[in-house]
Amino acid sequence: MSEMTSVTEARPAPAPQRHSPHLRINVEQASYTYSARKKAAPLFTLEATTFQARERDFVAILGPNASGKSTLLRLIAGAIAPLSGRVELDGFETCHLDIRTRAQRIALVQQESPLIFPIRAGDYVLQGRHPHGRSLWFEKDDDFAIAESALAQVGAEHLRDRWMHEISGGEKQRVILARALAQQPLVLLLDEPTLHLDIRAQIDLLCRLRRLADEHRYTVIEVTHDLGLAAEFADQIVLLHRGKCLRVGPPAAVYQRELLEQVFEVPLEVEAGPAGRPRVIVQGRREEH
Amino acid sequence: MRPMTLRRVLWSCALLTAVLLGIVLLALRLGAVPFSFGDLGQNLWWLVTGQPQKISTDFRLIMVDIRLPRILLGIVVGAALSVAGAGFQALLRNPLADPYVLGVSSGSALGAILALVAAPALPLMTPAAAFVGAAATIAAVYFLGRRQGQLDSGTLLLAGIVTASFLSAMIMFLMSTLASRELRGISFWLMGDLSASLPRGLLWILIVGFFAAAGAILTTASDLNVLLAGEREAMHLGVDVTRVKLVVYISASLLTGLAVSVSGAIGYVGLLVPHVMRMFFGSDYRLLIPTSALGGAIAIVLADTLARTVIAPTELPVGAMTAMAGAPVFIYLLRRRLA
Amino acid sequence: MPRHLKPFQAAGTSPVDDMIRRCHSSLIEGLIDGTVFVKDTKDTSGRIHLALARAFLVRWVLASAIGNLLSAGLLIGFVIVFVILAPLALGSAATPQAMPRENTASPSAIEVKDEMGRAVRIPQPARRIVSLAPSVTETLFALGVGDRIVGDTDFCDFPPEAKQKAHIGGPTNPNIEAIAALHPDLVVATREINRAQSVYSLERLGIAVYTTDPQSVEQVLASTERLGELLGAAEAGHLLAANLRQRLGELDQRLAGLPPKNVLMVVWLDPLMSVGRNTFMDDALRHAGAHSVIDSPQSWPTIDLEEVVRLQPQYLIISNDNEREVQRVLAEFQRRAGWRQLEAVRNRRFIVLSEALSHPSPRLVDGIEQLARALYPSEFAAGAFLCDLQVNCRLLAIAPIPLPALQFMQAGARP
Repeated sequence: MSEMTSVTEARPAPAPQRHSPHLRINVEQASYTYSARKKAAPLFTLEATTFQARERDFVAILGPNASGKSTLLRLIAGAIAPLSGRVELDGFETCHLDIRTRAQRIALVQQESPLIFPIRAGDYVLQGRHPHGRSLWFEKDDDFAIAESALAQVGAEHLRDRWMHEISGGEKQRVILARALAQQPLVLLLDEPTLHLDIRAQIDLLCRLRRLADEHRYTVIEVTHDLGLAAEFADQIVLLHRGKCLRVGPPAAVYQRELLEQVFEVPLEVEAGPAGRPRVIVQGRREEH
Repeated sequence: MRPMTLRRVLWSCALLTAVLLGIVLLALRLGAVPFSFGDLGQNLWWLVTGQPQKISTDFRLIMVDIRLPRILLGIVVGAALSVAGAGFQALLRNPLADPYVLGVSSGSALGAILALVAAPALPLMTPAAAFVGAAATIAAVYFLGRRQGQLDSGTLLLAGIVTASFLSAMIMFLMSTLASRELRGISFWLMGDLSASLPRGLLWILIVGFFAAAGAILTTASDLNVLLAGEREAMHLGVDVTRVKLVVYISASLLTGLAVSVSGAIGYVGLLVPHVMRMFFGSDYRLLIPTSALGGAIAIVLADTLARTVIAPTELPVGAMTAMAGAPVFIYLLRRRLA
Repeated sequence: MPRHLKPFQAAGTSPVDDMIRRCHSSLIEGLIDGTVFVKDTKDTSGRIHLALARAFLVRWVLASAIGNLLSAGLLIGFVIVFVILAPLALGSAATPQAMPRENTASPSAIEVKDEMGRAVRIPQPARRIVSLAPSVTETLFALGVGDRIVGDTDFCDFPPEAKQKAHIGGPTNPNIEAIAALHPDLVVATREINRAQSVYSLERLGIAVYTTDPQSVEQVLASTERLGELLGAAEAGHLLAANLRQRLGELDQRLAGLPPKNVLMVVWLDPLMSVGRNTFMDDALRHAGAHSVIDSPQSWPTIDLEEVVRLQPQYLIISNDNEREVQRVLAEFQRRAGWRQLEAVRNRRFIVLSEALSHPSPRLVDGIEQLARALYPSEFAAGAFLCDLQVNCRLLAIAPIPLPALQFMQAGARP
């Protein structure tokens, strides 16, 4: 925590540093490089990226595979430190927060790992309270209540006593989201949450996320390559292509036909939809000339 | 879904402690020289109330000098192996992990063999050298099992298996080429044998070491629960994965090294006791660690009592007993798909 | 103050205010609407009641203090067990003088070094002896102190009286309790078949353990003699040893000048094991005019059949009392393809001896003589008494060695 105290001492007061009130996530020229070994040539580079997110924002990080979306998400989560630039949460660098503090503010929803020993959904959600405990602790009534209400928020109270390996994919995804909510975070990060879900489950999940952002003041940042749904639900799109951030802005500004065709390398059409949100129509196979 | 509370942990431990005390009383009574419960009770009473002169010499000799230390040793060894087994199952993310999978027992055996050959006249050399062998193996496997500076479950498992195989090969080589007649005893050591009587100081070291290492694992118990549900997610739930893995690795290996140095490689206990406890008490490590310890103690004391009495006066090594009982239990667990 | 609130603490604000401010900006207000966490929030703007926050903090601190004290269920359970057992087991025997000297009329003891160089205190006389090896039992009976043996191993079967004694288990895993219950003054062990661990365990209980380690025939005799001295049977010991030395001397004379015959001593068949140099058995073979073709520093080397084929011993020797086992091994020799390459097998030159040859006891000399007769039958009249000279025969009559029946059998053709 010495980093923390030095930061607070360097700044006269936290508030004036914020560019605008409630600027929750601030990514400033953050870049990152992967290489197989320390001195080897870089395998992949995420170039300097900048965007901001406030509370109640729903941001979608969009791009084809291997464009650096997951890397950017991990930078925001503080799992890795940026090579240059800064990633800040409420004014403090995320990579310098200690693990527990970070877990109390940022929740990351990923594809679930295989479970070694059977566990019930209720216990699984209860693990979300872990950042708020100490070692050698037992959950208190408050923790049970928070877990219960997290399950209620995702509409999965009936799954509480079921085993995790016995429920369907969509239900599992909801339980994982409930665990993230039980952490009581400020920011929800989701890595391709709609990957294995059917269309109804996808819409269901995104609606919940939208509601969480609007009514409960979360910041939701989602990584996806689903063009259509991102346009429907997101307030802000960050478009990545091969490690470069090409554009940041509301869907209407980012969904330009030439830009999207360049990034996704398929022919498509963009038209305006209701409520100012663009709609993408994929052309299908073009015949070879 | 019953919540895990302190009270539940304490009640489970109390229940198991009661079972353990019952088994201990049985073990005290049975043996090549039997005592009746009346004798036992009376002599114990005299001992506890501080009237040592009334105790019969036979009782003092057999009970206090031979059986009690052996039972105590069995308790500590059983508890150490079970907690180590539970720890390794979490660390390696593998239900089939047991305390010996990372080669600690082979390193110990090699140390013991070298001690038996080089210094057969010193009784303390064998446990000391065995422990040094274990420590060296722990360090070697640690350095081999790292990936990008951090302990990786898969790499660790492979490094451990390779080291165990290599050490076993060296042991076989030594056993077939060395001239020494002391090697006759090594087969008993390899099977696991509690009949060695140890100096008191060593027993104290064992007890203190056990509490230190098991206590360290206990502090990471809630972290282990989260770690088992997914290693990638664990970091984002506030678990310092690097630290937890290191603590569990060192503590579990230390427990194994301590147990194996004094009693040889008693098999099946570290693998099966955690699974049986999971069947009864669930997978939560805050409850699993204490109950595994007590369950392991019960298992070893029971096995040792049977080994001592089944074909008295001949003594079976306790490892033979655990293997005989362990295989059917393992098959049963497999069929219930918990292993 | 819980650490996790620090990053939001602006300079000059109180922690509780800070917590309220944080709650205001976080989702708690969302989650806790209608939940039990904050039951009586009436303030719709989402601010947590100050008093409630304080009460929560107090409860939390108190609960965690008690939790810290009690949450190690493991320690509680174990402390109970150890509080009862550990003082008994650990604190009691300060010095392992558990053996009462009730059976020594004269409490004198001598301090000697046994054959492994360890110091042993042997009471004079030792009245209760436990033997940990069949060869030791035989030796003790030969010395005439067989009545003082109070316990021996399961495998002690010679002489037949040995089977009547209380058994204490096998040589490699003797039951320490059973031995202690017999209250012995002295336990006699061998380095060859007993474990060091057993010796240490017994010593820790205050029981004297004397270990023998004869590595040649002469050492067997010397060891027997010394045992006799230590057990107050010095005369019998000297007599016995002198007798045996005489017989050996005679044998050497008789066989002097004769070239030794190459033999293979088959100790075990699967894997094939023989005897190595510097063992008493090898020396015994030498005394009998045999030369073991195997030259190995190990005591019981495992050898390769091909090596044996290369060396082509003249005779194969087995030392076993069990009739069926002998038949089985002989049949195996003749059945197995590899073995048929040996001249000895083709010509059926097998020698079966009693187990006398494999025990480092006075009977060893009988075994040597048996072997010599089998190898050089022309030097000995068949079926004759073991000695020729009148003097020696008289000595034999005094010495208390029961003559074993000559189980000497030469299967097949004469050489």
